[in-house]
Amino acid sequence: MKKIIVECLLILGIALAAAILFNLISGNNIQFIKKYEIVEPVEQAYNIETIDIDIFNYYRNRPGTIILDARTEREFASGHIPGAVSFSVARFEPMFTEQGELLKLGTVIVIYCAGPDCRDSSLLASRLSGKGFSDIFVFKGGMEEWIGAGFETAAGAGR
Amino acid sequence: MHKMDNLLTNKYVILLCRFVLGGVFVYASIDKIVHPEAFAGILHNYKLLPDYFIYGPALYLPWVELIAGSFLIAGIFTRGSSVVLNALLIIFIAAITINIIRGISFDCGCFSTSQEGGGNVYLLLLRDCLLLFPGLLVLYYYINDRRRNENNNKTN
Repeated sequence: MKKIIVECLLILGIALAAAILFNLISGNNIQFIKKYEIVEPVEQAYNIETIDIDIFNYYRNRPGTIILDARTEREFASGHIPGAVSFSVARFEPMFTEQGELLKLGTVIVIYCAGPDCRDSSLLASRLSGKGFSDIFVFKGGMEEWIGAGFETAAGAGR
Repeated sequence: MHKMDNLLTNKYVILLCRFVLGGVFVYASIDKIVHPEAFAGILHNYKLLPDYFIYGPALYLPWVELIAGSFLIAGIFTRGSSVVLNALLIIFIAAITINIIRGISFDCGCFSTSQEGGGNVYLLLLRDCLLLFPGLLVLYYYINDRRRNENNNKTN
């Protein structure tokens, strides 16, 4: 038993030394203990535009805009932006089969998720871009900003 | 039953288990080592760790996978590496289960840091549970192997 613990500690020690060394020589130089900050490689990679709440409201009131809620269906059911359609990025393929035709009817797609820190909206935007959809915007503030601004929410699993 | 015991303690079966488990972890570690920032994003999305404790595991975990996986394949510290890999699998199973219960969507980050949009989380869970089988088999074999050697030494 003692020998197994020593072996485990040796493996963990070697891995730690390798991680530190590689971090130094690779030029990444990321601090091991540092507050995590959101980077948005998905938006950059796919050139997806993020919009604020005013522009979101503009698109929301414009005919032909489809608003997608990228959170889970359970989160959607507990409260969402009125008019939004549930499109959980965690179930992308079945959702796409279900909602694909609807998406083709819209001229603009606006996606949101829980708040500024969540990545589901960006992920969904990138996946829809990959399926050939364009004119996709991400409302980065999401539900958090929507509720914070005092706008009403809708509940239930339906549209 | 006896045949089953023989199969589970067959050295070739154990060797295959070592290669499968070690190979899976080595393969899984490469992309995460090369893209630590992206892996940090995936860890953050699991919403299990505080913001100050994201980069450390993102930099360290893939190396644990690589070293323990390589050692298991090469037969170095076999018991230690199988303990480490089994522990990692249990941690992954716990993390996936917690997020299924909480209803939080996440990227697996299992084999790549690309944002694949989740996939079927129940299949991820099943896969990790299935990988525990060769892991525990290898551990059981090498612990007993050592006992057998000790007993043989005593009788000699």
